[in-house]
Amino acid sequence: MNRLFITALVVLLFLAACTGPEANEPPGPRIVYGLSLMPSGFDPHINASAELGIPLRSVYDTLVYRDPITGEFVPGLASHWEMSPDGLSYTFYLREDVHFHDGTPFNANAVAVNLDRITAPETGSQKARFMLGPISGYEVIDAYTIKLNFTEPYAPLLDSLSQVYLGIASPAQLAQYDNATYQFHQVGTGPYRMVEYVPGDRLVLTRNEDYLWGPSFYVAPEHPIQTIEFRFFEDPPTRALALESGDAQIMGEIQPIDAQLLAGNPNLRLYPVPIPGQPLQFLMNTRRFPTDSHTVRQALIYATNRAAIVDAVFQRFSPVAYGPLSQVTDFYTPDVAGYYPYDPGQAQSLLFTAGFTETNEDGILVIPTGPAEGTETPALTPTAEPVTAGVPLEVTAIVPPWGLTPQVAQILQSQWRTIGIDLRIRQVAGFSQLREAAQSGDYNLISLNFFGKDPDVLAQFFMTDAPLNWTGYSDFELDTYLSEGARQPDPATRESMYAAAQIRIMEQALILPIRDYINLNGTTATIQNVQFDSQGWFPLLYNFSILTPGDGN
Amino acid sequence: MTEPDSVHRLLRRPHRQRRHYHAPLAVIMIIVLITLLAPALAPYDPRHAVSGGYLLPPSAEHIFGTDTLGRDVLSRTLWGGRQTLSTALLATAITIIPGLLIGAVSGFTGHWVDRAMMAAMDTLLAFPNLLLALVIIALIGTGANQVALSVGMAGLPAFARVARAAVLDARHRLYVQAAWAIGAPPHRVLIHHILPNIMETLLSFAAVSLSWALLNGTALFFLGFGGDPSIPDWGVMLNEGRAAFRVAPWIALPPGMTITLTVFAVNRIADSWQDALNGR
Repeated sequence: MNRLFITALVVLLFLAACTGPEANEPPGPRIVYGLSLMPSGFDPHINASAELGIPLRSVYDTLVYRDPITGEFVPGLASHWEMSPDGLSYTFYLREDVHFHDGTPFNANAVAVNLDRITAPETGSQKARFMLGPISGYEVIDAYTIKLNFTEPYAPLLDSLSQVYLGIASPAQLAQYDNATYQFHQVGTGPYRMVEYVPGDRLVLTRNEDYLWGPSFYVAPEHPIQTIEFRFFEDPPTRALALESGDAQIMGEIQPIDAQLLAGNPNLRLYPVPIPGQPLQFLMNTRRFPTDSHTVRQALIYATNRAAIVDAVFQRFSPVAYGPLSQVTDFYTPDVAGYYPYDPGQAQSLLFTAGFTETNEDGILVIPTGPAEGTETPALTPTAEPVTAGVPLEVTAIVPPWGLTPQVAQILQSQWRTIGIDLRIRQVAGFSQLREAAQSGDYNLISLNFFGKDPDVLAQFFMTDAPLNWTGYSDFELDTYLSEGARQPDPATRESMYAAAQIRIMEQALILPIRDYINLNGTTATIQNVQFDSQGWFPLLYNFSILTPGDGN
Repeated sequence: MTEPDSVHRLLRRPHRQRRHYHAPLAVIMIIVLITLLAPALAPYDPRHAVSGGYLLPPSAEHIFGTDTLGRDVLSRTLWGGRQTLSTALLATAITIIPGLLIGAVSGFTGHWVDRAMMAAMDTLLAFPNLLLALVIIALIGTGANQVALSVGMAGLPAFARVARAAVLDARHRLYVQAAWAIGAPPHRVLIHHILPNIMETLLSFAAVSLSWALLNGTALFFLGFGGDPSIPDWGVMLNEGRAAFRVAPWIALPPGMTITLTVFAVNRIADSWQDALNGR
């Protein structure tokens, strides 16, 4: 025990002596960037958190990049690429002037090593592996050319390859550390190097002065930030305070209620950034009474005053969502906006049609025990009718604690109550409890949404055999739209497939969309050129500029 | 020689008790009464937004203002008391009934039964109260009854320990030995001779358990383990108010003050009972 301690001490002292003066005193200018949660792991190939990409987007380069303004794919580590006519393989021609932070050169072999790591089952990749879709393998054509092969066409590939989860790490470093420890010693080719990561405390980056191979939209500022220390501010009310007190210079996910304070402070700036992907939504269980009825599902959406929710909970910082994709997602169709405007009268008459013709002593709608005249009840739910007679219109919602979802559910409860719908809310503690609740099937509404610029995110929720098919809905037509949307390389075809899918999801009233996600970022006024990538979450730290007192500003 | 002194103390006892616990008892009674009458007293529905908006500051119409979702804070505080107090009472019952049973059996039986039961209790006592409650709720899931169960279970080991010590102490008293000597059966000794004599100790620790249950219960509700977030509870309200504290401090203050007042009053009662016991 004692000997072990002394050995460890000696090793530590030796390491400290080796690292040299610049590591002890990171060069300035230095800022603190606040992260809103502590991810379970920081390895982009393994872990799935959006939070890990905020620092690591700048540690790694990707084969391609996506211009945040135009949405076009632009060269990254690959200077150009081509797709085979059948869509089953992509060939990437790599830059030859790139080297990793550890000095080793970047080449086709490095890409191969990364692909091996991501696809190996023992890596346990939670996201990166799935982003490669139906990949079957690769061929290293020469030192700077690599071909990726697929079992079927996979149109979302370039979007996947542009994300940090498929960032290219140094093979030498990957060989030196195992899957559990690499996250503490990450080495990429990006504009910042990772200096240290102390779990629960900080992750420090310093600028990579050798960086010459950035994508077209990486523009070096006049006053770059040399050192960025990421710290964790997991408690939402503390975030705006940390900016005001100077504990942090940039912070994501400011509480909407604090954002107004920020906007009114001349020393601070507010950057609301729309996040592509799914809006805040409730998936409706089509296999459980009463949401098994299409009419009831439609009525629930008509009964929801989304503008009031955005007003109260999100302080008007979010657009109301009408469909399964937020407005900044690829192939979003504005046609969904015509569906289900707030109309409690329409909701009531739909519920009447569904057989809820009477009100009990609590003011909740019920299906009368005797056959009600003039309604279509038997036609709509012929098998369920004997069981449901006399049962009040009770809807159960499972809500996670994040994203202000509990507050949204409480407003829904209040709004629905006025027309006789009884919403029971069950808040769960985290994602694993949410999944448990979903697997039990004992819910009518459950809230979950994923982010991503490519609409392929829908396939994970709405395909018949999808892992997150929590609506329980199965429809050949919708399955076809979603699978063809991922298979067809032609953007126009994809657009029509995904437009049809979005319309179908809303026609069937499979979800109750609430609001597009907006990340409320706050910074001090000294930070300038604040920009984010096309996925919305990830800052383009290379472009950030800092005003120091000496700049005369 | 000791006779006049003990008589004197006995005579003084009611006075000492009255002086210490009548005021806090009155406070508790008022709080309980108000929360019981919440349906009649609350001016608005605690779960539904009033028309006119959210984050309204205190006014004649809304004495404590409205919260982030536009609900009347006064009505929520009144209704919240029902939830908070009933959770705490249920939790206390879950603490003292099995706790008394374990403690009495353990202290009265002795031998390996005592050692086995106390080893189990000591293992649980090694965890801080709230941490134990968090572990239990992680196992049994969220909900108001689950909060009561986990908070009650977390308080159980300490109560069992106290009950055992009291029984052990009483077991060696002369009147218990006298009962044995005249051939009283064990259950009679326990129920008629030991329990009545340790009742005050147990009551005073039950009051302490209640104040723990209040604090831990509101803490779990505060952390969102109450299941349905729309159930008004002082802990839930405190959390909602904290998020908006800089913009609308009036949301967190009423539940914060009522929690403090209630716990303080309960603790005063426990203290005065303890004083009365020690003075005997």
